[in-house]
Amino acid sequence: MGMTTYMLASSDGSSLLALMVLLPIIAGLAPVLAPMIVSALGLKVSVPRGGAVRSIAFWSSVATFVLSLLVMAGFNWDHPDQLFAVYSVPWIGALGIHFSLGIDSISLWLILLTTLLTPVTILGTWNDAKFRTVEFYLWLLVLEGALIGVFAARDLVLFYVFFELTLVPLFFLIGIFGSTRRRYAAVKFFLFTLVGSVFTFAGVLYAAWFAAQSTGVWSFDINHIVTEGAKMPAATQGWVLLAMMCGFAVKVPLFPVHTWLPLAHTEAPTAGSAILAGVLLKLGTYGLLRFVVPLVPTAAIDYAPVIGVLCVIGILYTALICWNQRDVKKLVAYSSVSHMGFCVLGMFALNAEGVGGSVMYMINHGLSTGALFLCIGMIYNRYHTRQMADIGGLGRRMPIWGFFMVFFCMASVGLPGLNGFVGEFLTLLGAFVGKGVYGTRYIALWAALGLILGAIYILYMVGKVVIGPLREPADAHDVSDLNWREITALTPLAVACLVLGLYPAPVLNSIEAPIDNTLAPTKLVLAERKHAKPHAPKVAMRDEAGAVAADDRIDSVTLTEVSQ
Amino acid sequence: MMLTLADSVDLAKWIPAAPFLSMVFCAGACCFKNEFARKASAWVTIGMIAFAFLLTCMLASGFGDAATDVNGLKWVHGAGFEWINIGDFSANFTFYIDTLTIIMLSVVTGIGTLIAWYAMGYMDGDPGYSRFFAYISLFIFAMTCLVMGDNLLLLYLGWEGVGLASYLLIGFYYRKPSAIAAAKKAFIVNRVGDFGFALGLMGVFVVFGTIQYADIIPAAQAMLDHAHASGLPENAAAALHKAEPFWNGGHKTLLLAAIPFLLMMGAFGKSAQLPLHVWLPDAMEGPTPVSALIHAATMVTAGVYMIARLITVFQLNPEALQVIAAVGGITAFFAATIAMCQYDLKRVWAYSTISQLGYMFLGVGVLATGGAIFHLVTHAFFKALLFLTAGSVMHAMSGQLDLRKISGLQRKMPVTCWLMFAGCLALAGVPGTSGWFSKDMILVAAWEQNQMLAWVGIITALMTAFYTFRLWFRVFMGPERYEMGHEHHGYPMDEHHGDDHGHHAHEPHEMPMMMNLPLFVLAIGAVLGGFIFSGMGIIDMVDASTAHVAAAHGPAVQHASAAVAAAAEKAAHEAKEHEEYLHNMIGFGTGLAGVGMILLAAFFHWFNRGAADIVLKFARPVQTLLYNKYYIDELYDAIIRKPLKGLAWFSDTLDAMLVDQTVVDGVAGGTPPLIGRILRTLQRGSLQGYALTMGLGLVVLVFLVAWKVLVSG
Repeated sequence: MGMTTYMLASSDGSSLLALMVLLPIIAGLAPVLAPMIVSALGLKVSVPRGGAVRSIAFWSSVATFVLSLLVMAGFNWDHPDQLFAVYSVPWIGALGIHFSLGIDSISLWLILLTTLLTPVTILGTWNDAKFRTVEFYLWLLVLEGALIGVFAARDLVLFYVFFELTLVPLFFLIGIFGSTRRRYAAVKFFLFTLVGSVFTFAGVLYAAWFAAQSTGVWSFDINHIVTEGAKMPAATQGWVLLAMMCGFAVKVPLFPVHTWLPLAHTEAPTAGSAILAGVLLKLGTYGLLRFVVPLVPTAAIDYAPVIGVLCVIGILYTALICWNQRDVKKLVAYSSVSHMGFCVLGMFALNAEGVGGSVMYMINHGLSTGALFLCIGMIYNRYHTRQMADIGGLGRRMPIWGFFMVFFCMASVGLPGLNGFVGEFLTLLGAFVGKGVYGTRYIALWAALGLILGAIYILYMVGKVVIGPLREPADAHDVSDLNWREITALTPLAVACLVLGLYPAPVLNSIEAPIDNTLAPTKLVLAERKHAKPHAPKVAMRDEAGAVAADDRIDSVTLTEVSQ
Repeated sequence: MMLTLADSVDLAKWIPAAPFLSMVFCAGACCFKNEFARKASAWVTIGMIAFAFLLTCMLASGFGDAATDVNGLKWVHGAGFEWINIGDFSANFTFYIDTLTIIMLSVVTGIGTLIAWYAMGYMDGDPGYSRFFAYISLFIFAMTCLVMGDNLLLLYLGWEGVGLASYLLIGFYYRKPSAIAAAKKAFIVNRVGDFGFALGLMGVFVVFGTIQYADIIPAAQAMLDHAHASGLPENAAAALHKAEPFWNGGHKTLLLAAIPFLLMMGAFGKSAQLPLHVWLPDAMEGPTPVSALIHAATMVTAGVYMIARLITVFQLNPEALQVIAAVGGITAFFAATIAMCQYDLKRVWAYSTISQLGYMFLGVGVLATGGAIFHLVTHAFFKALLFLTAGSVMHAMSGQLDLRKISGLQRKMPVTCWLMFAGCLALAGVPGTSGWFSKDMILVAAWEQNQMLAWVGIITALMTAFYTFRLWFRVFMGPERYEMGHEHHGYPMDEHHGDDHGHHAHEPHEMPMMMNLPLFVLAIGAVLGGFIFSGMGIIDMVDASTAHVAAAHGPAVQHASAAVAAAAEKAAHEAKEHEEYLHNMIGFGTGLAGVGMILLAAFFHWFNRGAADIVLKFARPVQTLLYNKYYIDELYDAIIRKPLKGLAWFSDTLDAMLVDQTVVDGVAGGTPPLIGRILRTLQRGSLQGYALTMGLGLVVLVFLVAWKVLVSG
């Protein structure tokens, strides 16, 4: 602790980020490497196994969480868009590749989500790893390190390395510790996302090359690529967008490339599902936010209606599918696809409300869906089934579990006052206001139907599983309610859901500045287009009725920007 | 010590905070199964709601003198905390307190206290005692947010929050499949309404650039004035549409015209108006105090409150107002016909609630906001009373609710009998009772706008008098005959083991005085409310909040010259005389006809029940149709639920094909054998294989780029 505070004070916490990436990975590898070292040195020391490994994993992830809180404490909240804790050392100097980390407020919140969710998941799935324990926690911790790395990376190659590194642990978590069809699910998951992201990388590399061409400076710095690459001609931007969407859309996942997700979720162990839904899916939307929106502004505007329609189809189609599920976990898995549709919809509205809502959605969906998977895991541990035909009315047997389940369901269905609502409402509002981008308000209108379908499938599940006549498998004996460990795991998530629902202001206020920066290129393009079109001068409504014409504000904002 | 307005406004944030705290307390108490925790949760809930009522009274007493006049609206701003602010959008946990707010708060917390008190006895012995009070607290918290919020999003929070409380309380007896189905139905039907409401809210943001009442209402007022000044009073939105370029592009006018329709969807859902009324009768699955509090007195009136609050926005599109009035009138009539043929005690009151809410919508639709809110208040009293006395009967009869199996309970339950009688008088609109006063105001206003709708209202009033007393005569008069029910605390008796408190009733019995005490207060309100509330100036209070309605009544007068003004004054005087005449005609006419209907009900359902059976025999098809509620549930099931479920099944099947190898794998992976072979090698290798692939891919790409750079550079 003393050391970390020292680092925080001495160097703006720059090495903290590297430490946060490395700590979980080292902690995960230690039990694997320790026997080798021990045997190499010919020592007779007992190496940690089983329970001890689990404790190491848990406490190291808690330590990582504490580190992230330290970063949060030291963060420059007055300028949340400026990179904080920048840590950069040359990596492959010849190609200008740096090991470069640094965070703004958006990265910070997503890192906090990761570092909170990991210990909570380990705690909530304490007895799940019944065999190959060392590997289980190795992969879980490597996953955490890689996820933090993605959110903190400021170098394109580093970003890509971490981005792909997340696949490996999850591949093994699903492939080794999953259910019956785990191998198929793991391979499908791996191939889908790998193939997609190769295209993504190619697209971004092209932009890097373009930036190098136009400036004469070769750099993999993400900021540099985004700033300079955005000057690509419109036709090129279209291709780059397409390439980038290959990877990010699969990761989100967006309809129609979502088909790996239900499978991966149903086969994955609880911990894998929680992290997969909680954080991994956000890599897709994070990529859209960091690369697609600022890097190819013209193409983003041009293709927004197409993407918007895909989102709407995804929202409604998967919501309907949820209603027809018999497996609780599969239902929640499909609901993730539906939810992430809202997230992308808000993103491509390309206004502060929509993108802000989208970032909120990433955080909130991570909390509530991660928690739902944990809840379902707790049921599976007790009954060894997830079929709604076999289990029902469990709120009577396990009232505390019932409380948490209903609570997280309500958070997930977007009940105002809980976190899910903030993101859901803002993304819809963004899409509704963003008529200038989507071209029509009907996209928002159709997406809003997801509110109804969401209520239908969630209440369908609650009505089957939590309330109603008690239904248990015949071989279930002495099933008890949640124990203290499980309650301790779920409580922080529930508290976070409530706090972010009633008081999201700290998050919203801090992400506004980076979002404005991200949106500056698209705003510029929109403004140019408005001026290219000759039209009669309009009288602002404010004069007549004391109100502002909301979706014409893009003009006023960007006009001032242009004139500066 | 005198509290200034500033003090009571400062304290106003405790009105929602107090029930929130009691919710947290009761949730904690759920963990302890002992008697002390149960008792404490009831007392804390009652105490906190009563405290909120006290604060409301303080607010009311300070308000009259000290409220500031902002933009012609008298209101005060209650501080809270920041909620959702991003871009141009802003919605905070802050409060808009004016006379309308105070009226609503008084009803919510006042009636809430009385009902919670009654529930303390009613729910005694129920295993979910603390849970019940936690839900009640949650409801009061959400409802106070709904009426106090200074913006539409906070209203929406309360709106959905009361929906959740309603869901939880309807499904309170959660082992009963029927209760769960009813709870689910309520939530989903409400969500359909909320879908419209959410879009309406967004529309308001687009058109007005804000969702704060303090900004929307004056802006809408300005638009209205502008339209009237342009001599286009008929349809403000259409007028603005024509008056381009003032109005800055056509699409927004269409949106403006659509906003009232979108918002009214939400109101129809929450207040159970056609075609979204189907959830309310089923909601009677909940414990009876819940039916009284949520599904009669407070929550279901939220739609009326919302329209009254935003009446200026609705005025921008008079067609929307006409639709509201028509839907209200038709719903009132429609629900009353069903109520005449129901045999379930609570369902009769449920349909009656729908019908009375219809009156309130008729009222706001014809811009009689004063009358509508007045009726809201009186209805809260008499309907809460009717439900609670029905609850007493149900409690005494072990869950028996069938009118055909209860008769002549007057001697067994004399206090309940006469308490319900008081409520029936008000509901039937007997002259002098509270219901008569408020209903009359709505009918007179309707008469001036649309006589057709007024006639619908009058006929409905007569039917109301009939079915109200049909129930009362059946339950309490006639020969003493009854069949006990088989329920105890919501569940069939034989299902009960262990969690019983031992007062199995084999005979109907009168409620203890503790439980009847709050009912006396309600009875006083039901009978004398008309005098009491008019004496308190309720109409002026509502008018102060919706003052612009008065202006809209006579736009011509505003812009008139002196000579015309004199003529207008004369006309106004004549209009006033005419209105008094109307009040006499409609009020006493309807009232006396209502008394006649009561006598008719007495004949058929007290003195000569055989005659009723004979009439029914002749009207069998009509009776079947009404008994089955016009088969609307079946219709919705056939045209909405089943097709949607079919679509869900289709989507699922399609997706299963996509997920399970067939399509995507076939195209992406299966077709080229080469790829298949690569796949196999991949599957065989483990980590090394994948890392190798990834590394190779990376290297190739890096090489390509580097090469390109070198060549071009």
